[in-house]
Order: sequence, then C-alpha cells, then structure tokens
Amino acid sequence: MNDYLSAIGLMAAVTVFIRLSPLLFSKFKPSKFMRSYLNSIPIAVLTSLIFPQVFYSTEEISLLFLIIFLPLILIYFKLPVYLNLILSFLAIIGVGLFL
Amino acid sequence: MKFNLFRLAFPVAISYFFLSISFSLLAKSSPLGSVEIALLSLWVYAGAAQFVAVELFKTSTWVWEITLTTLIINSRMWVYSFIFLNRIKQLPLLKKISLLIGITDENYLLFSLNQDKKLVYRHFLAVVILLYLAWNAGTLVGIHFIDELPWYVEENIHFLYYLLFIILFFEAILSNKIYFFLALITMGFNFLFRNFFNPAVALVLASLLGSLFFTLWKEKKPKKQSLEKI
Repeated sequence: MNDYLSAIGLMAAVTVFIRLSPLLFSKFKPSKFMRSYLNSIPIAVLTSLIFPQVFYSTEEISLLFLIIFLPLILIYFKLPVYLNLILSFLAIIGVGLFL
Repeated sequence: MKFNLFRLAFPVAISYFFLSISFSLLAKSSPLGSVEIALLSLWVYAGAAQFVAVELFKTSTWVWEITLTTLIINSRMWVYSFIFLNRIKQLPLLKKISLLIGITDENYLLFSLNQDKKLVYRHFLAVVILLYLAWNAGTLVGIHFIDELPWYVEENIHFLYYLLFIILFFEAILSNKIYFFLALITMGFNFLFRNFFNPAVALVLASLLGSLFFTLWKEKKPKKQSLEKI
C-alpha cells in the first residue's frame, strides 16, 4: 500500500514538474520562424497521437474503416462534434455486435 | 462566438469520462485498491501514463522504474506547456500555473486549434476544470459501477477516445488543407521511429521533426512565388 502511494506521489511530482518547468523559460521570445514552427506542432501531435493508436486498436478492417471514415462523412454533413462523436460511437457498437 | 471553445470542450469531456471508466476497468484488474486508483486520477491526471503505470503495477515494477517511465511518457507535456505559455505570457504567475498544471494532450489541442478565437483566462480555466472533473468523475464511476455497464459498451468504450481525435483531426485538416502535408510527414516519421523508440518518445520526435520539415517547406514556398513574380 505504502509503496503504491509513494509511486503515485512520485508520478504526480514528476508530472507537475514537467508541466510547470517551462515557466523557467518564460522570458524567451521566439522568432517568426519559431512561432510558425510552434504553431504547426499541435497538428503534428494530433497526427502522432491518433493514427498509430487507431491502426493498432483493432484487427477488424471493417471497424477500422468505420472509425476513420464515418466521422469524416459526418463532418461533411456539418454535424456538431458531440453529435458526430455519439453517432460514430453508436455505429461502432452496432457493428461490434455483429462481428 | 466567445465561448465556442467551451462548447467544443464538451465532446472532449464526454470521451474523457468514458475513457477514464475504461482506465478504472483496467486498474481494477491490478493490485491497486479503489483509493489508489482514485488518487492516480486526482494527483497524476495524465491518461497515457496512468494506463502504463497500471500495467507496471501489475508486474510489480520498482518505484523508480514507474517514475522514470512517467517522466518519459509525460515529457511531451513539456513541449505543450512551453508552447501554450507563449500564448498566456501576459497573465500573472498564479494564473499561468493554474492553467499549466492541468495541461493534457486534449486541452492543449483545443487551445491550439482555436487560436483565432478571442479567449480569456476564465474560458481556458473552465475547460481545464471541466476536463479534470470529467476524468475524475469517470474514474469514480468506473470504480463503483463498472459491473453495471452492458458488455458491448464496456468492450468498445476505448473507441470513443480515438473517434474524438479523428474528428478533431479532420476538422483541423479541412479548415486548412495545407496541414494535410504536415500530417503525412509526421505519420511517416512516427511509423519509422516506433521501430526504434517507445511510442511516447516516437510521438515527441515525430511531432518535432514533422513540424520542422513542414515549417521549412512553408517558409520557402512564398519566397519561390515572389521570385517567379519578379
């Protein structure tokens, strides 16, 4: 119990340190190139986060296609994000029941 | 609309809620008790690191190994905080801390993808608090009520997280098609680096390098056009 608590405490301390340590560099003023570079990082992170996870999430090709293309189709019909999320999830559950 | 970001944060909160239920489901199969599972979400509040930590607790890994793994997995948050700090540099220190302490993949992306909106401190803070509460509420629900979920929801619950990212990704790409090129480069780097590094390190390296190549390409592009005009 105590070991688990100390591990969790250390994990929390490390995470807080990582999140707050950039404050030490708050005087740094990025150049125009640097700003453009920093602005493109979110999309890059998003790509890195999603695609490997999605590709390894299921071995069912039909489910994989559904996860990738159904939200895209619903975006085309200009559905709000929450509705897109709920409908896509329901479709996955529906397909999952038959697989 | 000023509060657009908050509206956009609701779907993220929904997926956080369900993802943390699946975290509890996984954590309950480890030697951790209900209190430790709840504390992981309350204190650490870092999705990927929590999932990995549970796996490490299952194999009785040393405390320092768990800490080091957390450091590696969460190192990407340093990049997020550093970039986001640039946007909130006019705020007083305590306000900066209140936002940075809750930074995650998702709220960082929400803040970054809404750069054109005029947002104020309370909007950012509302999103940070909403997502933190959703994550912890999901953890508690998972600890106490997971057995009451139908099996087909329980089995597919993790897909909500992927769906959310897919939706955010396509919305961002469609709003500015030039980013499709950035996504392609980053994806290539990511699949390459995964052969040599763990997924968290591959994520950071691929994102940093992909963005660098993209920025270099983007910076050169207008110069070419202006030379053609001359």
